[in-house]
Amino acid sequence: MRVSLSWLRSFVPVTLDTPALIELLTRAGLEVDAVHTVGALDPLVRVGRVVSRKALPAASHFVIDAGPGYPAVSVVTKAPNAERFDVGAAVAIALPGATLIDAHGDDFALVTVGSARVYGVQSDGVLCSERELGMGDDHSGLMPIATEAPAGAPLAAVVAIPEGGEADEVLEVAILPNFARCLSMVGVAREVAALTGAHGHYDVALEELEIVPGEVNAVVEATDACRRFSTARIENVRVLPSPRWMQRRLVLAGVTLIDHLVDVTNYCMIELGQPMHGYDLAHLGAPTLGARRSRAGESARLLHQGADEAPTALPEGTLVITAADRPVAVAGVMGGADSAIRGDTTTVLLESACFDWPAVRRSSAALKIHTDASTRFARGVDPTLSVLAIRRAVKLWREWSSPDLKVTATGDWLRAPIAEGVVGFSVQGMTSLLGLETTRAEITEALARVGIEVRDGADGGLEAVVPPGREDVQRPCDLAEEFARVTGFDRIPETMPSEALPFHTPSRRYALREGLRDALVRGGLQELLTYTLITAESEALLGAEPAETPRLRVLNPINVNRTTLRRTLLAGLMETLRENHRHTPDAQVFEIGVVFLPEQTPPGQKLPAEKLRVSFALTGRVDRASMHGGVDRSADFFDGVALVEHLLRALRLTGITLEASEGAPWQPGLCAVLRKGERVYGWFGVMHPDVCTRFDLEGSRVVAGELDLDALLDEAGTTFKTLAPPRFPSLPIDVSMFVARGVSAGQVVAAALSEGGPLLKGVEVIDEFSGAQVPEGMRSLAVRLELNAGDRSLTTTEAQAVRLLVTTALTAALQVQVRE
Amino acid sequence: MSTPDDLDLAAQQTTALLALDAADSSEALEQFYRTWLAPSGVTTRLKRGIGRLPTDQRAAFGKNINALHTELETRFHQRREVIKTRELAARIAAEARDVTLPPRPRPVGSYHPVTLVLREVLDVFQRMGFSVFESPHVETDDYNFGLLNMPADHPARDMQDTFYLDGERLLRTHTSAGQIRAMRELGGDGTKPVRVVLPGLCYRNENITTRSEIQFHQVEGLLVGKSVRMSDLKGVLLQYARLLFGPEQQVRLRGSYFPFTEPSVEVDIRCTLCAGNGCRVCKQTGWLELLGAGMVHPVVLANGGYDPNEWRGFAFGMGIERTVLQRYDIHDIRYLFGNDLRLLQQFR
Repeated sequence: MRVSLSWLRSFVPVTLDTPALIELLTRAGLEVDAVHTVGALDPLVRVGRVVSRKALPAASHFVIDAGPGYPAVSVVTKAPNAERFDVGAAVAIALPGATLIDAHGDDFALVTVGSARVYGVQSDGVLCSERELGMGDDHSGLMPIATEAPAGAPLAAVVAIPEGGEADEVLEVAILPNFARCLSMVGVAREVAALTGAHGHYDVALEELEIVPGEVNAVVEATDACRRFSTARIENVRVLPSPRWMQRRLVLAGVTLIDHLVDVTNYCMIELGQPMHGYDLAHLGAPTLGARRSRAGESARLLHQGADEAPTALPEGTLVITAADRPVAVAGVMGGADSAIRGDTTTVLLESACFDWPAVRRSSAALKIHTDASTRFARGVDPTLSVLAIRRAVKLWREWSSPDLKVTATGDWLRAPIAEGVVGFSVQGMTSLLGLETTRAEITEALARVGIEVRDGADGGLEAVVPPGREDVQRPCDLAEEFARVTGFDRIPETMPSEALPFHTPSRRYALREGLRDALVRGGLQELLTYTLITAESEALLGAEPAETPRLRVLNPINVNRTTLRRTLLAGLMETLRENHRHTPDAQVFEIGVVFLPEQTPPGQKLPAEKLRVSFALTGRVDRASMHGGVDRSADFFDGVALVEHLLRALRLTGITLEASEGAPWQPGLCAVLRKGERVYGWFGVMHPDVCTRFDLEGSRVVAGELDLDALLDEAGTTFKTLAPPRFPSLPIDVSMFVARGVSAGQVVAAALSEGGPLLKGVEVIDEFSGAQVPEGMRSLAVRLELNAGDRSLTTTEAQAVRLLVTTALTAALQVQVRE
Repeated sequence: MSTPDDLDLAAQQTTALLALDAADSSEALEQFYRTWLAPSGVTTRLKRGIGRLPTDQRAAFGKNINALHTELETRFHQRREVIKTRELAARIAAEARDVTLPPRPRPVGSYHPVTLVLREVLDVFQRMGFSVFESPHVETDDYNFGLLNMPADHPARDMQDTFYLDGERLLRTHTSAGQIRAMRELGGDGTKPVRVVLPGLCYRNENITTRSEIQFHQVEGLLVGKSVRMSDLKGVLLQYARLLFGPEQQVRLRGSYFPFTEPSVEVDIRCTLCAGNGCRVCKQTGWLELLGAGMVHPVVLANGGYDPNEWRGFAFGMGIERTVLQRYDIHDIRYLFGNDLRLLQQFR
């Protein structure tokens, strides 16, 4: 809602300056998003002093001192009285960006000052006439400014803006859904009066016209969507441009000027809040209107459509206005093109209705047409306004364009009598809800300011009588909000809850998940947060799941890259590596986030399975050479192993084993699965080179993994038991062996540990090689056995016995050839 | 090996002291020690040869050789201290480096800035007694809108552009969607008070610009009890603001509108950048918008299982990304989920 302050002042005296008014409105829920100034009030219109003047063939070139920041502005003007402004004279200069009134047109148009080259000379502003500044009608030359004020002073501080002048300020006020009443000048004025305590005068001039409720001149079938339907047939109207004062108010309100017939309906909408529509009776095809739901296959050519455009198809059930049962308008949204007011219109059928907001919202959304009318109906229009608005419109037409008009028929259909709302409440209830001591007198006074009357209720309590059009006030809490808004939320003290409330209960899963995040950052990884929405195509680049895998897609994506709920975090990580590769080829990243697996949704549950995952990706150098030495080393599979083990340790998980695995997106032979028994926790490995290529990372090696964090958290421990440090040093014994190719190091370690007896505390693989000395089909492995008896030193005999246990077991179970 | 000259202790002493003086390194001193003072050294050997001397000379020789040994030992120790000190000084001199040379590479990870702020916010509320309650990203229309007093076609739905999966399911547009779940799960059928914060990702079908994103994090707070007042909301948020932004903080309430709270307010805090004096970030007002809040609407309480005549509550909801942008002077929200590592790595 664009609120012209001069228009506002015609209803209510405003003594506050503009910043204070903005503050007041903002604190009461009417947030002011922007302030626009026009003409002399624009802060970019300043007092300038002539530094030099030069004559051009048909103009004058001035250099103006416009104060700090603008010591020498070059301006070209064609004003005939330019030579009367000598060096040192004061002028009104509008700097680039200022809003002025177009002095050439008859309609009230606004222009923004820019820079240009005029007659080959740079011109960075406008030297203003009275008319351009909105201070009068004179546009015969530059306006002389009699002032001692220094260059750069805002003009508004120096000259007196005449009453009714066109210089103005316009507030752009954001209207929240429960402030529908403030989609009108009168509504905003009432609000300002309530907040400032000023007395406003909201009576506007009305036509003496009796419109009798119940006298029906329309066929309202859709009684579920119409609350009131008032009409008037007006003959002998003329189509003329609107008077300048009306044009100015409409332009400042952001309304496009048409002609006086149409402008008046818009003016009444802005002034009172009642949208209306005028039909040219000659082209309507029937003397009366109807209101009903549209039937299948119906269409209408709407106002914004050209003569050669196909009519707009109306979804079945759209609330339409009809003439002779033919749709001629979408109710509350837009009129039809064929029955629109045109230059030769002489008789208007004026519709002023109150439609229920759900119907208008649905039409507006289905047709994707949003108008000033639909904005108001979609939030609810005061049902008392319809007749008032007709009388106002007729009065305005009569006053300017159509002094001979005649109202020859009227109608006013009402679904039900319009009643006030009554809300029971108590002072005690208000006090305890707000935490603010108050009294009946205080509440009565505050609510009266917003038109709500307080009286004794039936059962000893109080009743608030709420006027029609304030349907947002239905409950005691609504009254409390009105009370607090009007008297100021400042008065509410700050207290702490006074009753016993549950203490903070730590969530195990939350604590474990955040602990894991800490561990990964400690491990040198960069945390990412990528988009939940991705594309099936991007996930398909991984090649891990068939194309027909079920995916959740949004019906209304914002763009083609954000269409589908992710099933994996890996695609997002790979995209991130791709986007960063050019400038940051070394990256170690992770993300903890949810993925969506519709096929895992338990039967009967509406919401899809959301699974928590942790994923990582390493690429480029993990060790770096520097001037101090060291060598560059790129991430390889065993960096992945180290990271996964770090992660499992952080979650205090034991018993999870790592086994060779295969499948996309992994490179064969460099992929492992984590499992415990049958339960699988995820995979990690080196991304297949083809996958890297598909993500534009050809030639890079990416080590990555994705683990099922829900499963890991299920089993994670928050604590563990430590072992006392050994009092005696451990004894290392190395064993070398040839191992068949199919036998893994993991199997060797596991077999040694399970058969080595209580003295064997650890087994570590310390060497692997293949070569000429190794028999065909085998490789050489060396392991180091760590022996410790805990309470004493081990003897050589005991150590040899453990070695024998281990080598015997390995030979028997895995057919290794132990090398002595 | 003993020669008559060996027994000339004066000559031996001269030779030994010359050798000691000549030893100018730890290694040379070590060599001196082995030659003269070790069990296999000259003094021991001379002592062992004492038996071959005439009886009357033995006592005097023995005394002299012991004196020589003691003197050499004392001189040796003195000399060793000097050498050690000199060598340490030399080593220190040699090891000195240009300390302004670049460091060795060291792998360091970092948190996403959203995590940093989110954790800080949750940490304060947890200290104030709130428990963390998490709810699904995909919600039903009911939980996200209907049960929050926003039936189909409600004007407030205009305030939130929604990603729908089908007619019934959507990506939650606010963490308020979890309010009903929290009341139903923790409220014991409307018999127990609730004090929770609900963090999480939310989604809006909005154009991605420098200032708006299709996903963002919110933290919702919900407190339900029998005597909860709007002044408690103000007090709790003041406490929060002071714990997070400093003891001088102030809050102010402005009228606002949310369908699920009544009265509804916007809560501002003193601008954290200019301390309330007015700056570009607070648009010269001295106040920064902190969050939206209000008293839980009776309809919402009832939908959560409570009798609104007996129970009341307050709720608040704040965006995390805006604070991230302000705190770290990031001018484009798209950096946050765009994950430009050149930006993220600055948080190391």
